[in-house]
This record gives sequence, C-alpha cells and structure tokens, in this order.
Amino acid sequence: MRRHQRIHGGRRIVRWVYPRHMNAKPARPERSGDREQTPPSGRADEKDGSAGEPFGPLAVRRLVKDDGRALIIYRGVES
Amino acid sequence: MSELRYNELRGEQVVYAIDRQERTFLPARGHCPLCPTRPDGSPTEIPLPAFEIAVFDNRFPAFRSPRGAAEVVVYTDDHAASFATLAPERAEALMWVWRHRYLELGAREDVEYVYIFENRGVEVGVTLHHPHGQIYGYPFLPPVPSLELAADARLGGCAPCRLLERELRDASRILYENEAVLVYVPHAARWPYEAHVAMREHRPSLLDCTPGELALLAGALQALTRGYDALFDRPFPYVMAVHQAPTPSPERPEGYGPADGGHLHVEFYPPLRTAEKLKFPAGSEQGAGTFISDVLPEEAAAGLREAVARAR
Repeated sequence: MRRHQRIHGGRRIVRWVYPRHMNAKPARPERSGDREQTPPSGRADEKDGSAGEPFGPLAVRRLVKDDGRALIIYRGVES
Repeated sequence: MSELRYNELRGEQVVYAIDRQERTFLPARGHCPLCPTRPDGSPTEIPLPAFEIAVFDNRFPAFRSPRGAAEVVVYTDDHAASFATLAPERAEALMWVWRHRYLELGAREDVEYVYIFENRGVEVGVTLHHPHGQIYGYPFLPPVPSLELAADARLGGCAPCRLLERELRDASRILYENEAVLVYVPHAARWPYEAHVAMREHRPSLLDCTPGELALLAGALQALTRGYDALFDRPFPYVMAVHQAPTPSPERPEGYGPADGGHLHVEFYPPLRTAEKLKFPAGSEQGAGTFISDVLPEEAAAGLREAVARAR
C-alpha cells in the first residue's frame, strides 16, 4: 500500500493506493475520526426484561441497541 | 434504504444498497466490531464482555423492514475461531439459532425466502474476519431457489431426493455420511471443490428436523469444513449457502408445490482450484451462464474424501 498526497485548491488530498491483488490488501490504517473505525452502537437495553426465553436447548435474550437495531443473545441452557 | 429494480433481460431483481459502500472493511483486530465489548476497549456491536452466539440487524443492510431483513450471526466471541473449529456443542447450538431465525423471519409478511449463508475468506469478498454468517430475508423469491423449484417440477418430485438416490447408487463422490446426512461432490459440480451437505430424509427446512438430525447436520458441516482446511493445509475460502423451502407469503399462504418447495441442504462454493489459484467466474460463466471446470468431480471427491478423513 502506498500513500499518495497532492494539493488541490489549497487543501491537502490524501489517498491510499492498494496492491491490485485482493489477497494482498491489508487493513486500512487507523486514523482518528475515521468513519470506518467509528464504534458501532455500544449500548443495548433489554427489550422485555426477560433473562432468556427458551428455544430448544437455547435461552434467547432479546435486546435493543441504542440505535434501534435488534440484538439477540443465544446461550446454551446447560452453560 | 435499498432499491429494487427488475432486470427485464435477465428476468431477475437487482438490489441497490448504496449505504453498504461505507461498510467496515477489514479492520485491524483491535477494532473488530464483532468481538465482545471489553471494559478497556472500544465499543463493538455486542455490548457484553462475553457471549456464545449473537444475532443482530446488519448495520449496513441490503434489506430492511418493511421490505425484508438482513442479520449478522456471530458464531463465537473468539475472533480467531472458524466454523470448523467451533466446539461440537456450539456448532449444534448454531443449528438451533438458524432454525430460530428461519422461524421468526419466515413468519414475517415481508419475507418470502430466508437465506442463511457464510462468506469465508477475502477471496469471496469477506470484509470482517471474525467468524460469522449472515441471513437475508428476501422480500421475493430469488433465482436460485426458483430454479430448484423448477427442478422439482422437471423431475416430478423433490429434486434433491432424486439426486441423493443417484449419489448413493454411484457412491464415487461421497465424502462423509452419518445416519441423517450425506456429504458429496455433486455429479455436475460447477466449482472445482463444490460440495453439498444434504439431509437423507425429505426435510423442507430446519423446522422439520429432529434435535438429533440437527446435531448430525452440525457434525457433517464441521467434517466438511475441517476437510476443506486440511485439503491444501490452509484456511479454505468458501461460500456456504443453506437452501430451504421458501416461507409462506400473503400471495402464497400454502407455500410452494407438492414437495413443500424445498429440501434442506447446504451447498459450498469454494473458489480455489489449487492451493494458490482461484477459479474466476469469467466470460463463459458470466456471459453465457455455462461453468467450465478444470477438475472432474470424481477427482475432487477423491482428494476431499482423504482430507475429510485426515481432519477427523
């Protein structure tokens, strides 16, 4: 991966150039404020206060993330 | 929000989900959004310090209510694991999770087909390495299950049942079997190391399986995926596609056809043709729709069978 930099309209434009072969493509480097590294919704509240409804050998716990998306946690009842 | 457009020339829907362009792409391990949220780390999709299996609405969905669903299924909180290396009881639990999602998503009026799948490896476009799969709830019946329904009609009954009989008679492409499941390279495999994992008895979906059959299905899937990893002694990329019956919709409350419109089987499409070379769907495959393979299914089966046995 190479870092290309140029000045356009008084602003510095930076872009990363990856090797062509997909297998060689590394993770994008971390930068503060990078949208791809923005943490996803980090909280979740119990949807119904249930500790886990049964489904076969599983306990199913339903939560709602703080952006409104559903999160379901499955746990083996023996564990 | 995604947009559906009908491609008249191909007779199929195309989904435009432009928000997905911004999805997380191969993040550093410390920023994996599918890992547990550690007290000293940054928040992730799963705000718990540990978990067994988690399912959540995809942050970058191809489909969302009221026109379908897109979910992520995280198999484990162990970032370095894979489906093949899960403990057997965890793999079995995953079958129940799939069954639960098929039941709940299939009951929705805006979902006509529940498709469970896993993309493994950057060779097939994976953007997160943490072991996980996905579930799409399509608001329409996609082309591949439609083709399987057409095969049922052409063969005068359940097509996978007929093909299982053929594979059992021939026996040259069988990789693994147990009381409930047969694993084989199909007679006309399209990918060099394609394999199918099929229920021996006619089971339209995971809902029709007994608990014992679900455990045996998990065992067969792990036997195959471990064999794949042993074949070239490297993590083996694949697309894993769970094919089941379409779910009833308001237009089709009774489902599809005399064969219940499906026979639970899992198809694997690995892109490798050697340890280092990929099979690309190119001119003939994309432009004419005809696969040209470099490997005979019987030869692929011989190598894979040995790898499956070695990996057990």
